[in-house]
Amino acid sequence: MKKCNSYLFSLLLLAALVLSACAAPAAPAAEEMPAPASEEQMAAEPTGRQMPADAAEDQTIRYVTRDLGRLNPASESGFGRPWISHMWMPFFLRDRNHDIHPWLATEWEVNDDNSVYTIHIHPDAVWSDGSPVVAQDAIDYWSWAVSPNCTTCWAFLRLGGIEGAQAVTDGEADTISGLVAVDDKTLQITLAAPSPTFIANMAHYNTGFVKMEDVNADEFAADANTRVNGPFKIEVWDLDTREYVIVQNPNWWGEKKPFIERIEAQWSNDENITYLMWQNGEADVAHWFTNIREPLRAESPELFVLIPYATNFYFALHTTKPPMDDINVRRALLHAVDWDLAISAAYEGSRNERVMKTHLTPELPCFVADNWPDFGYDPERAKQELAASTYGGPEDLPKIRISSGGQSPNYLRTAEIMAEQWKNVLGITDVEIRPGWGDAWGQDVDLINVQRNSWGATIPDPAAMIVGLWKYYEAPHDVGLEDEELAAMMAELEILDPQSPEFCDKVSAAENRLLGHYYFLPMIWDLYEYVVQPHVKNFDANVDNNWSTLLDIYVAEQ
Amino acid sequence: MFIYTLKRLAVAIPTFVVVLIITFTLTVISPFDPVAMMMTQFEGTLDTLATEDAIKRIRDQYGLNDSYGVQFTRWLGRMLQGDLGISINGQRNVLRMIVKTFPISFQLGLAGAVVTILMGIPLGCLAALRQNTWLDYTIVGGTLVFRTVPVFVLAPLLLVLFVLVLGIMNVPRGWDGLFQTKVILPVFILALGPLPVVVRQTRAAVLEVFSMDYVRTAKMKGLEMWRIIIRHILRNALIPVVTTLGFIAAGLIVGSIFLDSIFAIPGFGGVAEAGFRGFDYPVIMGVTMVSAIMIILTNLFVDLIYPFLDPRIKLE
Repeated sequence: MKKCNSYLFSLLLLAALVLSACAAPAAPAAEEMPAPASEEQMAAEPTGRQMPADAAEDQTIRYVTRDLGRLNPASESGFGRPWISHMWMPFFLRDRNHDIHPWLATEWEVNDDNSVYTIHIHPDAVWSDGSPVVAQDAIDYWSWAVSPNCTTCWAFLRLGGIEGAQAVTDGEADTISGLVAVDDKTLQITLAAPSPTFIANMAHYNTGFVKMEDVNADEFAADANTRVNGPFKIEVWDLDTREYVIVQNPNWWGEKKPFIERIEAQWSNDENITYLMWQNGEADVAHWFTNIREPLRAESPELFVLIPYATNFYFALHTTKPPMDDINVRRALLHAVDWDLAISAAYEGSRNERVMKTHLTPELPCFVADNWPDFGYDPERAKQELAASTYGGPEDLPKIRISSGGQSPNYLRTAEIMAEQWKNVLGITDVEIRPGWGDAWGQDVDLINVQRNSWGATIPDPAAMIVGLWKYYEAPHDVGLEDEELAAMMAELEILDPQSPEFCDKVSAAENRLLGHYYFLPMIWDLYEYVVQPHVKNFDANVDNNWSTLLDIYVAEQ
Repeated sequence: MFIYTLKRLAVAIPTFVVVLIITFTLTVISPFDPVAMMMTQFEGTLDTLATEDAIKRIRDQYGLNDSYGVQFTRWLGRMLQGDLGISINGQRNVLRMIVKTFPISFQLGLAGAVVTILMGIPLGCLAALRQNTWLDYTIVGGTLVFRTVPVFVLAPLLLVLFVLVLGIMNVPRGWDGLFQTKVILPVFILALGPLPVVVRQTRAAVLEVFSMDYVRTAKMKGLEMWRIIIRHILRNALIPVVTTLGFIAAGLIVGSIFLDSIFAIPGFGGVAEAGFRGFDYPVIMGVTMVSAIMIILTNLFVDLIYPFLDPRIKLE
């Protein structure tokens, strides 16, 4: 037995030594560099397009971001956006200025009442296996994408206006009836209601389509075998091993081939590590710097590329509940806070230029900076307004319950600063703030009267944004705005041609009247940016956070 | 021993079921909604994001609007068929996530435990043999310092040192197998956590055994010191250490959340982190299940090893 124990001990020791072999000497830095392009990728080098004189030999972009999810055009809403429109092309592509350009389609027509759109697919468009891209491909994929089978898909936000789409979403039909393949290269789209701006949806990444034979599950996630019709394809996209590489599609049919051969995406949930990689030259493009962003901007502002999202972050006031049912209370709460100071403190100076002062953001057409009547810090006015309310003053004011809508310290700090200023200016002390959503309030959930919320417009249509907000907040629940005149203005906006000379005037008038309801307390127009090394040339992004200039981006010699 | 093992396994089953029920209940009654959490990360980048219709539609797709009983029964039924469901946040098969990531964490955790043993036991012995000297204080105090610095502070600091200051490596990222240089730093950091526990426990055990009669006898017989330590002291001193090591190994395997995040290791800790961050209950349940099995099996394994270390212990 003694001998046996000795053997066992020796065996354990040996096993320990073998496993500890991992403690080998450190590798030289060069071993961590990206592998050279394979033969297949070399073959895919751009032909017939002159590389810029300063282009580096290795046209690889190393991209670091916070999260990467499954790739599926219909479900994409996170961080796979940058190239998704260059793999499964939507019919059109937007540039930074929101102008729409032909992409998978060459042109489109619309009938007189804006209810039937006809889209012409590029005659040369083929899938990466060489088979032609046909109108039926779009019909098949879109019908699946709006159906309940497509788990966590957002395509219904873009395609829901097509006749018959709702029936598919409700599980009552298999195919969207408003889609007809006139011929292989012509798709006719009939809308449930006329819309002069529907074509904007056809430039959104959610409307790119996958060949249905490749969609193998309701939780479809594209991989290297999934056919594409754009200039890039997947080499590896493995969420389990966290390997994400896309490369040129050698069979892309477009005339203008990309310069970039390969994009290696890296996942990093730790900002410190991302910054280390950035400093050590291991990242060419980085996304989601937060704490480090402002010091880095102060040092090198030229590295930042703004994604022209149009976002609003704000606290919605539940006007159907006391004391928010009185507009004078709402006005008083707004005027009692110095928003510039509050946001500067809550966001530690990182959003000083992005204090939300209107719904439309500076990135959108028709933006008017001072369109909110009487917006601004005015303590005297605030006191008068509270006194003029049906509650008369702070003593009889029902409790204010603020739900921060998430755990972000920025939201909580903003809420705390608001409460503090209400106490100082108006004498309001009965305020409770809880982090999280409605669930955090248990049985008191119906008593919440201030709820942080957000609204974003990835379709850069100011009318659609204003109308969307109105429709959401006129619904008879927590906010429930009532305004017949405004309803009429919104109805007009829905069918107003964006090219009409009075478009912006009417949008501004509607926004002004909507803001006049004082149904929210502002926070920020958020700021999403890339940080791009100087050797990455021609980098730009559009409102969809697509690298819209991807065909022209190249890596210069350092 | 076989009967004993079967008995222990039989006792483990109710423990396992209770763990699952408690975890599921806590997840379902918690104030956080996985769909709302998922949508929060897309905030401001998806118009009409927060509509109740959109949330309800997705909750329906995952059956989250059903009652607690229906949800638990459905989960249990699927689990018994080997289906752990689909991650709400990532829309991925949970079983596949665990199967792919667990072996990585297993190797990493085991390597960490081995390094802990190789460093901790000799250091503990040395500290005991040089009790109350500067060496003793340095070993015990030094290892304790590493223990008190959290991984998410220690790892970036070491990276700054090695990557930026010394310039001897790039930031190690990902996983290409255990016997790769990029694994050195994560394994070393992993080993530092439980190191002071092993050092202190070894030190205390050695000190206790050191004063035993049979050690004194061995010394008087003129045996060499190293022989006394290995044959007479360590063997007896290791029994309590082995108990601790079992739990340390299990903890290292299932608990490397920060390391997985910092070094982008596609491990079990990353799955757990994503699950807890998003209140993604299919993932939380899967992770809990595997962790519970690990702890139960480790416990059993440690018990089975005792008789080999101490013949006086019998398994009955």
